Amino acid sequence: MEIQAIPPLPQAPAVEPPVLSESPSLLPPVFQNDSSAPKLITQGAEALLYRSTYLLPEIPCALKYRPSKPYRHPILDARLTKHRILSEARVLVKCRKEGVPVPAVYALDEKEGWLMVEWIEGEVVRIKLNEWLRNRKESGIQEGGEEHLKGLMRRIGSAVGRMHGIGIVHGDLTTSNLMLRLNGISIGDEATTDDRILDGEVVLIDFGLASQSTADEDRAVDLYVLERAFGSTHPRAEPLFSEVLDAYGQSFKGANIVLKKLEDVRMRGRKRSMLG
Amino acid sequence: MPARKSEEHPPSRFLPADPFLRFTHKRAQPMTLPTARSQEPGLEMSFKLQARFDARQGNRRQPVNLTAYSRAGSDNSLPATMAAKALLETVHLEHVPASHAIHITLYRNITNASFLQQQLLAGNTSFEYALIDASVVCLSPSTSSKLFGPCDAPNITDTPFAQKIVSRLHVLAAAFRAINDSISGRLRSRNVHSEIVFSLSPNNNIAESFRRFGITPDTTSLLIIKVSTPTSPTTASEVQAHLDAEIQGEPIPFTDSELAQISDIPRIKKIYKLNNSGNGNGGGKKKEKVVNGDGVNGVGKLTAEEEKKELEVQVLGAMALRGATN
Ligand SMILES: Nc1ncnc2c1ncn2[C@@H]1O[C@H](COP(=O)(O)OP(=O)(O)OP(=O)(O)O)[C@@H](O)[C@H]1O
Ligand SMILES: [Mg+2]
Repeated sequence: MEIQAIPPLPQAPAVEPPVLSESPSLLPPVFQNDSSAPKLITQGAEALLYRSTYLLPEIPCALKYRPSKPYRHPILDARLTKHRILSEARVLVKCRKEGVPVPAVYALDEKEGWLMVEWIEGEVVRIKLNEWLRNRKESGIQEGGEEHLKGLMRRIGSAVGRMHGIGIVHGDLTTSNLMLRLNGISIGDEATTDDRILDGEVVLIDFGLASQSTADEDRAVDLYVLERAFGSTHPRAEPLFSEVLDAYGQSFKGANIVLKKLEDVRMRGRKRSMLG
Repeated sequence: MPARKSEEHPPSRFLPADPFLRFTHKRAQPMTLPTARSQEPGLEMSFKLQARFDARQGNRRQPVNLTAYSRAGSDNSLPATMAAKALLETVHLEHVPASHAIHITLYRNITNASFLQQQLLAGNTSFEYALIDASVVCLSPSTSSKLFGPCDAPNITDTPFAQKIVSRLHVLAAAFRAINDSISGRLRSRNVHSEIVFSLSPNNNIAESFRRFGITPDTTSLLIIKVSTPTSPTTASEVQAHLDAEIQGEPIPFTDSELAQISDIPRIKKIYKLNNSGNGNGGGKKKEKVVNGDGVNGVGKLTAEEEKKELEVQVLGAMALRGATN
């Protein structure tokens, strides 16, 4: 049997946010007309993410732009960009249709390399979780009060399970690609400062590496990547990862087979790291 | 413009003769009254835009009195003085150059659809508009296909109106896509106006999109869009004058609430291949709202308003993808 390569582990994000180069001229022509330029949020290796607007000033959107890579052959580059934009959009549309919590797709231009999706008002899980863990440490809490974290872990497990249940694997499940939607939770509410940090609907984002698959192996690798992300980014939350798996196990028919498979994947991962 | 009285309109072949009857099935609620306006974003927007337009016209036009269009009572006709004044609004979309203004207006009880379609077919350039069918008569499958080709929803026989437009955003999204493709020299059809009709399509079949969304001789409700471009700039007053002279029908405001009155949700779901979340009979998985204030997953049903929004964004997604299989 062919053993599938384990994807590289997600890197622990730098403590300092990367310096963002403000270069609006990078954007495709349609965004050069804007009176206020789209706001750069993150600059990844492959994509730039902006906050912008869709159709009307009062509708915010996330604009993901994949600029062409000068070092790639132009034809190959155009084909890759087109493929990635359409593939991410297709998976998002499918998820949304099946009730998996993801941003809605608003518009795209695969030739120009951009995708516009619903803006999720909230924050990525990585940041929220670190904030919560830091607060706890600073106030010297050792035991108890873990229901909030448990609840979040369970919501993550069932969101991932619902996605797997409709035949989608994410391909890059990290706590930076999970968001907490702040629906109706008012900013400045004193509750948001402590207990309610981990509140909000879990929304899956960044389907740039996602694919359609119902293979248990692929699903188990998704879980493994997420588990390792918790281990490296939030080691103090890792002991509760079992809650993710428990909720996952109840989320769709066949989830328990995936959990069995996860043990194999872990084993291979360990052997790998022993071989160094 | 010839003066017209409502009695002169020949009753449509397929509709009850009494115009009021045509709307009773979906017009239970009275028209939004001024006090409630601020709760209806579409309507409010239309007021803003109308105001902008009026300002540009130097207040030449009378402010539109929407209560005149109330359909709460049985009198379905308009005051004679306003009978054919298009309720034109001019929209500027985000990211679209200021040179590309979009003029939009909505009519119902259209009586010269056949003439208008002829102008399109004949390539009459003074009729270069996106003429979108906002209502079509849908009889029994056999009658309907004999009259005007296969019906998209042969099982819907009890609904005289089968409207395929969900909301303002649905229309604006199509305009945005068409203008963007036009500016980048990637039109797939004849011009930006036909491209708007094609942009409503969930797939790549241009002819089918015209059949589905374009004007037909039997169109009764009509959405008209005119894009002003640098090569052929058109002012709102020019469009207004032309439509006032040529469109025989009853202008109604282009608002979400007007569109909602005639939206045919099952048909829209069918066209855009969306799950039928109707009565949860099999297949359709309903999106559930996850309420997790205290870390426990409580699950609530979507309200009617949320469900409408959900339908809207799923339609936008299907249009953006246009069936791309890549
Ligand atoms: N829909 C959205 N609403 C709000 N913020 C978003 C949204 N999508 C992304 N973001 C923010 O932008 C960041 C980067 O987005 P995303 O993960 O999609 O891009 P990326 O990691 O650069 O992409 P890729 O991994 O495909 O190169 C996210 O971590 C999040 O903070
Ligand atoms: Mg990411």
